[in-house]
Amino acid sequence: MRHLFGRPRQVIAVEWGDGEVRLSLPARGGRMTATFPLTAPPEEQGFEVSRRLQDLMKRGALSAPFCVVLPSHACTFKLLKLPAGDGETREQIWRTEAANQLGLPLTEIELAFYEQPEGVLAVAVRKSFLHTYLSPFVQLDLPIRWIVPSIIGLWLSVQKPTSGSWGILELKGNRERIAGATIALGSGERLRLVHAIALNGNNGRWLVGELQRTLALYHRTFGEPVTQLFLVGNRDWLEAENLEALPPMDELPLSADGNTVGERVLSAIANAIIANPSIPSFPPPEREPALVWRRVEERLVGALTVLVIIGLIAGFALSSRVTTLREEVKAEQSLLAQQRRQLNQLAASDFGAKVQSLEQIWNMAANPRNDPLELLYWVSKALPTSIWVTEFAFLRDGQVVLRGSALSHSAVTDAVRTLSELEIDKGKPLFHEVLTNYANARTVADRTLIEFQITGWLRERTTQRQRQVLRP
Amino acid sequence: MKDRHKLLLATLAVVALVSWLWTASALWQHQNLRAQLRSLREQTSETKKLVERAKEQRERYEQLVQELGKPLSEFDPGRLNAKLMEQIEGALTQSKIKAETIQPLPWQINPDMRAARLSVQVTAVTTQPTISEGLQGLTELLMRLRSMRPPVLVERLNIQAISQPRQGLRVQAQLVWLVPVEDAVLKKWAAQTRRPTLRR
Repeated sequence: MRHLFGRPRQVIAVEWGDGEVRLSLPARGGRMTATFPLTAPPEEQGFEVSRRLQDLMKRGALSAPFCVVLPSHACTFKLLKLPAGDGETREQIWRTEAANQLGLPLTEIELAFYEQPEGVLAVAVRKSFLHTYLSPFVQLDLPIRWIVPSIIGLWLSVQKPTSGSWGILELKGNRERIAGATIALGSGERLRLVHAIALNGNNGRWLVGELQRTLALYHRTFGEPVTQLFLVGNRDWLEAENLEALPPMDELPLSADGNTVGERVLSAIANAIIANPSIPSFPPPEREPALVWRRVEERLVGALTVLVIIGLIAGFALSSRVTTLREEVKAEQSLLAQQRRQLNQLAASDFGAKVQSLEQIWNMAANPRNDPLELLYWVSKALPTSIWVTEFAFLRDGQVVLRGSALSHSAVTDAVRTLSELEIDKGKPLFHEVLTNYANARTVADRTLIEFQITGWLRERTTQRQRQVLRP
Repeated sequence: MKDRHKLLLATLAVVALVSWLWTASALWQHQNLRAQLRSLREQTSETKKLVERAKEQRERYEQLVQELGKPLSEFDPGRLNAKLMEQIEGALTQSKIKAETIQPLPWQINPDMRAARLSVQVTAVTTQPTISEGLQGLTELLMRLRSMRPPVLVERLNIQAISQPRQGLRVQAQLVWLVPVEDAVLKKWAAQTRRPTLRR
């Protein structure tokens, strides 16, 4: 389930025991490590760890998934040489075989399995120990994802193992004395043999003897000697006179962050988990329903508080906006009512109809075609000097009649033409039609004059119905 | 302790529910008010346009009233005819044109133009010694008629050169006075005749 979300980006590694609690936390640009001494008596150290973690949790430093590192000497390791099987039955077979070979009842132990080319490495730890070791984390409901023996984590953290048989010797103890040791042996990346040795009051010399026996067992079983050992821990804990019997032993190079070896071990294991999340692990503890419910309650309280705050803020904001909008609506209604009153007053006066009727009168009065003075001006301007008008009639229907005398017929024709071409506005002729009603020659006192009558119809006054010629 | 925790949870849940109900109610009111405000603003904008148009019409009306005279609330044709004749006679005299006859014609009320139409038939001769001066006098007369308020329209005009009793111009004209009237006048005359064009 934990792999559904892919590779974890941050892991907190924690280990406690031997009078210390060590942490390796993710930090900006690397890891931050810390070691806190435990001053309480051993039976109360779990509470002290819990209190210390609670302080860190309040500061928000413990939000990433947890990897609890178990002291390897508390575990039992056994390489089971079993044939490969399918998923569900394989796990069951492993468990049964592990219980048989380890001689421990399944009800009392937790098991973790690490598949290797030569078989399956079974790791067992007593449930009572695991319960005690995990209780500070379970009480705080911390998100434990991995429970890894430190030797397995260390083996996986070695990125470029030597090609032959080699091993890691992990020594654990407090400031005063060694408490336990674990030796992991294998070839290349293959882990073949892990032996956890509890000193139980024995000294370093005894430990060296145990290590020699383990190395001999490895040689006998796998047919090749261990050529290199890497040490993690205080070398001084081993008795010096027997060390020549062991293979060359160097410090395990740990390139991870940390001030002490223990801190660097935790950082290296955390990095190994980030690189390989499917690291063998004991099953994480089930969360206690009461704790789950308490956590849910806490989150509910937080969520409800946030909801209340957001709801109140939104409510206040919207209510104030509603109040403003109400005022705006009121103002708008008032403005609209005022405008409507004004419009009603104006509409009651019916200015539209009045203006329309007055415009008709004004258009009639202001139209230059209705003005005989304008007409006289334009006509007098257009007529040639060889004719003279004796009568001018301006009729209601737009007829303009000119009677008079001319010196020649051509003068009359000229007058008709100029009157036809007369324009008062650009492109708008004054007359719609101009015609000569008559042009009769008459001799008076030896002079021949042409008596004429010209009728023109003003362009915009003339209507077909009203066209008629005023006869003399 | 546990009960207190549950009580706190229940209280918070109730307060959250109430606050969100309040928020939802405020949101609903907010939406309604916004829609109402939008509608009101549209109405105000429309009404404003109508008011502006009505004001423009009122201004135009006032301009036209200045040009054409204030519409009469009471129509007295006898008095108006007398006034028209008096004004025309004055204009003729000022233009040195001798009026021979000034005859009032039947008046009309035109409901479309909201005006009373008063007209007179004028016959006059120029008194100037020459035709040219007579024409000058005639021009002055026409200008005076044009500048009268309400304006006098020359509906028909006949100018004829005469030699008897002396050289001059005989002028025959039908002059019309369009006098704007109020609605009350129109209603009064419409009630009396029940015809669109009233004539006596």
